Amino acid sequence: MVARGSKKAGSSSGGIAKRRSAARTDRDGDLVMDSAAKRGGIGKSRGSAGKGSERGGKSARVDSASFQREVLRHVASNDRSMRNSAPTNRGQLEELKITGWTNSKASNTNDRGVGSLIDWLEKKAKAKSGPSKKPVKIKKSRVEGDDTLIISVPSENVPVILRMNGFAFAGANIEIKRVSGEAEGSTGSGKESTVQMLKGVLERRYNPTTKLLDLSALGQDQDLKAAQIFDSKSTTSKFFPALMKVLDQQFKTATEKQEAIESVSLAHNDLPNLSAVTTLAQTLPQLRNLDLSHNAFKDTESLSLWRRKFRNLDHLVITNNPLEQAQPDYSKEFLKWYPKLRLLNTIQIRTDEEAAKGTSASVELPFPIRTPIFQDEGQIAETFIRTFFTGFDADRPTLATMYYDSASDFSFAVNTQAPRDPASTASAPQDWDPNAHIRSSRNLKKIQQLPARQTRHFRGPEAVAKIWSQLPPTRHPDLAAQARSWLVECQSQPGVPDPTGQSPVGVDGFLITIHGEFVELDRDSKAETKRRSFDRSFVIGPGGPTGVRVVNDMLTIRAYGGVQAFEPETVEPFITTATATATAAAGAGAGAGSGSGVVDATPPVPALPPGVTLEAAEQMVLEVQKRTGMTVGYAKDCLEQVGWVFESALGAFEAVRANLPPEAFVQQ
Amino acid sequence: MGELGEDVLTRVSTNAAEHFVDAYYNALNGQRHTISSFYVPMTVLPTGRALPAIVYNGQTLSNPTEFQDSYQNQMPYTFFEVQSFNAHVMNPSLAPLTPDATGKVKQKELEENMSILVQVSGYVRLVERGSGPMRGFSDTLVLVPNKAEVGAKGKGKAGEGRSWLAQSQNFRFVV
Repeated sequence: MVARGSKKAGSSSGGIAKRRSAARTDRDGDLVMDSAAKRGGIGKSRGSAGKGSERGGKSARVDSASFQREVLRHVASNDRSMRNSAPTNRGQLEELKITGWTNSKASNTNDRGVGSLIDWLEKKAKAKSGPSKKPVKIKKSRVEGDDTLIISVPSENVPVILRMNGFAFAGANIEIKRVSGEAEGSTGSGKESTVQMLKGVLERRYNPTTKLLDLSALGQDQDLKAAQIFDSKSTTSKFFPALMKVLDQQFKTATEKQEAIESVSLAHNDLPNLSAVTTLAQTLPQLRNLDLSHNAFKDTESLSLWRRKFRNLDHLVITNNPLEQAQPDYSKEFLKWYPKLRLLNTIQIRTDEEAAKGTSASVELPFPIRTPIFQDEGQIAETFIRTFFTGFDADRPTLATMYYDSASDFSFAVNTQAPRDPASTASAPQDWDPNAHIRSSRNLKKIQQLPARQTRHFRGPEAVAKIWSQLPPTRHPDLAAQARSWLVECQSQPGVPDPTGQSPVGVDGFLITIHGEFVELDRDSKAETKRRSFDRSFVIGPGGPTGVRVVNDMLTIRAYGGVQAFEPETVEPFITTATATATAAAGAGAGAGSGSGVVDATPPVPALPPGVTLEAAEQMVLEVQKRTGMTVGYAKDCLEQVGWVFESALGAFEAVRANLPPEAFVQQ
Repeated sequence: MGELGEDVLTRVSTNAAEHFVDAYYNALNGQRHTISSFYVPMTVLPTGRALPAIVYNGQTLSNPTEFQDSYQNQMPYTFFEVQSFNAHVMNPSLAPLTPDATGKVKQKELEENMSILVQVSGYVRLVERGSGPMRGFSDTLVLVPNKAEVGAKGKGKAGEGRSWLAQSQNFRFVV
């Protein structure tokens, strides 16, 4: 009887039989000595469940078994034993369980007759293996409990040995059975206890109320210390992946896991980088709060493994790491990495709104998203837009005769590959109708022949009304009530055709660009069928019964892309100054909310001409101030004088610049 | 004074848009020192408005060089992918043309006397190839011929310049 490790209380009894031939080699030629004995109690029965399940062919079990081998490899204090045992993992060997031999006459030897039994089995099997008389090798053997011998034989030899079931060996009838099919782990305990130990660690360190998994100071953990996890480099590095695997197995679904664990602390672990714990990101990708304080991270680079992980990270704690000193502007980096990161070391670094959007506001682009530019005159463009979309949903034929004449052009293109709503996780099929959408789509990227380009272009109210009738009925959100679903811009456009012919070089019109959404409706039931986004560009000019005619109407229809992109990225605070009017405007601006664009029905400040929103006005004031160096008050006065046409303000400034008093300018 | 047939209008406008779109987004991606050459030179109209009229994510600009500088100095890596575009003739007759001795205007002159509305839909990958944040964009442009009449230098004797230049633009991230 070989002494086993006694460290783990509760390990099953029994020893590991010493090989009868100490110099025997296994299939790989590795020496198979009694190395298992040196491992101590942990893992002494490791082969049985693992191989048994492999033979069983159930993939889930195989995975579990291989994991348990991993765990054991991680925790085994003697690497050599692992290496020596490795070939048994290959599945070519099968284990057989032999009982009933303890009563034989050979059992009074040192090895209780095991050596003789194995010799006898090999000899008998060879004799029974048919005319070839090939030698039958029992590759491995061990004794479990008091009366069970487990042997490993090549699977081709299994039938012949099984046929000896019930044979008499030295006066005792022996029973031979396959090990596979037995409940996993029933024979005992190393891997089981390791998994149990890790489970215990997790349970002890999990707080269901706060949903915090506290993996701080793992080096001080009594259980882990007892298991000598951190005694060698290799077990240390393999411990965390094993722990994560055990964690993963505690949950049936990813959602369940996500809901159970919102926060993880890895504080006080002396981590110089993330290589040892990187699997946390795979196991808990939806983590909201992460504490990495009191470690040894010297810069953000040492955390780069998690750069693209934790897309929903809300709060990161990184205090008491060398990087605070070494890289004082580290917060910038984390802002870039984590689009929804709101708090860094308990300090708010992104507004709730920005974080909720999760946009890449952190990407420092030269053109941050600003409020819409709407340079209307006399509400011409605004009235047109209001009328147009109401009419497009309600009565397309009438709309066509209202705004379209024989020279008005319409066409539409379907962008079937457009990016989808980043806030939506479901990716429902786009369902483009070959007749309604695709047949007349004029995506010039795809429609390359001239005749096809011509036929997908519609001119005049009849042709326009006809193609509109082929497009599915739509319902657009209300421009005023659902302003956030729209992004409407308008700019002056010179050189628009003059239908009267009076101006041979054309007249000024408007270029209107509208981004928004609509739902398509079933033609008969009017039930909503599909939500889509669109971009629509109009050039409108003077003419027609309403005084406004459509010169061009170009529509792009695409998959629903959400409305996050319409929200201004930069919340530009209106600079408060001594100028009473500016302050008043700022107050009113804050009250009016943002993102409403053109559709503020009643401008809160009467001084602004129709169509110029407060946001646009504020932006203009700031821009004039920036470009001219004037104070906000003078910049505002200047804009008022030119009717809030930005470009004119600059011209006006140049004209009066020499006469302006010094107090008109911001003092340097 | 001659007029162009529908087929010619479609051919000229769609080909012009195609070439412009190809070259322009390539320039944004990798030829940023050429960006300003895609716009009409900065001019102030009698109305006080300046051209080109660029509105980029809500920011008004009319100096193509300034716009180019922003791309060259501040814009991180971009990869613009045009997924769809469309084009119409906006004004088929920008300026009165003088007929020649036979009383006709050359077709080439007629073809270079229109303005074109272009609408583009696509995505742009930012900061890093393949893995950077992706935004959907929509771009609307009004193209005019590169002629002295629009204040441009013209294409040059060998026709080496661009045929069409952007006079107005409205760009937005839409996804």
